[in-house]
Amino acid sequence: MSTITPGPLLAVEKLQKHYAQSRSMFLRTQAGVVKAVDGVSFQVPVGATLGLVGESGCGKSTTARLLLRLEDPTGGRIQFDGKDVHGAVGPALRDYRTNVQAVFQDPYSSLNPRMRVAGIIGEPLSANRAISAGELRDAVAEVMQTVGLNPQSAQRFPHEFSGGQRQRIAIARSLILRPRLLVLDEPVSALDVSIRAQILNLLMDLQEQFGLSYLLISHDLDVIAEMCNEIAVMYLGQIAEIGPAAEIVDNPRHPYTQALFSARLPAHPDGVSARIRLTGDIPSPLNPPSGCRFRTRCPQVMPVCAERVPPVTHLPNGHLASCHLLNESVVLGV
Amino acid sequence: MGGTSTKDGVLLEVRDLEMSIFADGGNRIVRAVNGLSFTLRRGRTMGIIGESGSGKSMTSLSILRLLPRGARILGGQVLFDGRDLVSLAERDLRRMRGRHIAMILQDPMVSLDPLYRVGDQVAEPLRTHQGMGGDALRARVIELLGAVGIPAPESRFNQYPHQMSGGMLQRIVGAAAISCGPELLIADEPTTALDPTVQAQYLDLLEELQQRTGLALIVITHDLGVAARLCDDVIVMYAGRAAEKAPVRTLFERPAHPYTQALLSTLPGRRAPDDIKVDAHKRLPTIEGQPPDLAALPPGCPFAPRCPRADAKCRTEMPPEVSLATDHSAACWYPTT
Repeated sequence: MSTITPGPLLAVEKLQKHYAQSRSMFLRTQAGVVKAVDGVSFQVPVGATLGLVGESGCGKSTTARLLLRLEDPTGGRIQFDGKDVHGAVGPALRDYRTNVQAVFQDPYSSLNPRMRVAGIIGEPLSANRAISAGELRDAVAEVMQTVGLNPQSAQRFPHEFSGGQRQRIAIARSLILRPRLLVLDEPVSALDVSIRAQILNLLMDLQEQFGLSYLLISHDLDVIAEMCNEIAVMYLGQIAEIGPAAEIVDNPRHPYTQALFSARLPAHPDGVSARIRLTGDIPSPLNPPSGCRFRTRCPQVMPVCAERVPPVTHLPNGHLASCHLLNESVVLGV
Repeated sequence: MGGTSTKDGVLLEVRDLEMSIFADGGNRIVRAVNGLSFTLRRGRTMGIIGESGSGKSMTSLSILRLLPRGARILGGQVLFDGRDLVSLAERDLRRMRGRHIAMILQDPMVSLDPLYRVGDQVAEPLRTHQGMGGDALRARVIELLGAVGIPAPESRFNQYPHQMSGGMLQRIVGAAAISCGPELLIADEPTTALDPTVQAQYLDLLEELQQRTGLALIVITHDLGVAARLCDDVIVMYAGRAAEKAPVRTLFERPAHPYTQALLSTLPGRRAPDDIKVDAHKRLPTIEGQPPDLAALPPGCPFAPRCPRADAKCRTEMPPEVSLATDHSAACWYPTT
């Protein structure tokens, strides 16, 4: 599984997804464009985890849908193992779909209640390869063991399992094709705290065992801080800040990241710290603010923020942030 | 009420509360709350913490007797300002709900009707409980909207929920909750994932409402972080019982019940930053196994099957609540002392 790959496994460059909005239900005149994802770039190395955080509506799930090729981008590109993802057709596309799998939030709605567990887990394999019933049975048993399920329960139905076990079933299904990248969309948010740690540990074990790469989407900042090597903070379809996890958690430089992480719940009654309060909601992606998109809610907004789009500032340790505050000439009024 | 306050400022006293849900025509008895007792003083904040199926939400619904289908209170008392809500006639209880005890849910759209103007929805409890109407009612609602931090309350009065932001709607629900000046507010937080910013706004609102009115607050949550942020006292529930009760600081610094200790250690991302840097992929401590089936509870301590400390006694005999210090107790045969 651990092939030698020069460069990142996944490279996303200036990714864009704009939706045309029609003016009314009946007339198909174009009224505006929803910029759900607007120029997003990041990379995921082999065996690493990139976390995508941001409030609802920031575009993180659209980014995941683009990666899974459930939608086509309107600009930019995604490369997997050096190959263009959205140009892929035929065997190349099949190959990509085999290599990139997803695990979703709610294991109560993501598993077909009328299928037996063996069918759910084995389906990607039987749909993609011509294999015998015996081989399929063995493959299902093996992957069930890998995720900590008893292979003897393969003939049972999803409702006979608890939430944590259901998420194990979903993970087994995503693993059976031996993918290299998993898109994890809120994989533990529907689970109880005592079960959460079990699933997070399983994901870490699997990553180590198979050299998997993860794109982890979550608005649980504790989970993100625990699991990720790198964190990208999204706001209104763009990346406000990206960098190594320790940098983003301990030394956030963008005011939005600072506000977001200050909303984390304390680990101790003494840890209750001053929270940076943001006023208002995320503006509509149909009509984003001029200049810096965060300026309408930013506690440190300056006149320049409305006029110019902040450039990306390169900070030490591969830490990038887009904010005028990081640009000395602007701050000093030079 | 209010005037005749009971001794030591006790507002709510729950004694040996037992509540079960009779499902499948009575064939399956889900024992949701199994002998819960606690005391809440005026103006204090109590956190009731538990996983799904721990009985935390059923406890809050039992206090107001807003029971789901098939649910029955089988025993115990809920003394609110000295009156037992369990035995109170339904029409008397209706006069309590919203007036003396209010409830607030985290998702405002569960509580608000999209077809009515927000002002009218805030006015409803005042009209029902205090017979207010006309200009006086309108003036009072506008005052309340201003009090919960809604800018330009006069113009907001006539708006519909869809015209307002999520944070604003939370405040509308908050205004309705405090409209009749309740002595107790119960805030139930669902387990579903929420934006951290939305959750923080909600906790801010609860804190503001309490500071403004001096009401006592019960926060139902699955997150110990909420307790750390907001609560004076905490009850950790497991399988319908109080595993541990303690002032919040004691709970975090000297947890006595193995379940509380395990919960504190499994919180992801709450380790020291140095720890994370040294080893980003250190495994989290876990609690193996599953919470018990409330329709088939084991004979002894319900946590015994998952407890590292459990022995034969734990598996056969229910541990009593052991008092460890003032206001600190644990239901365990071998509490950490």
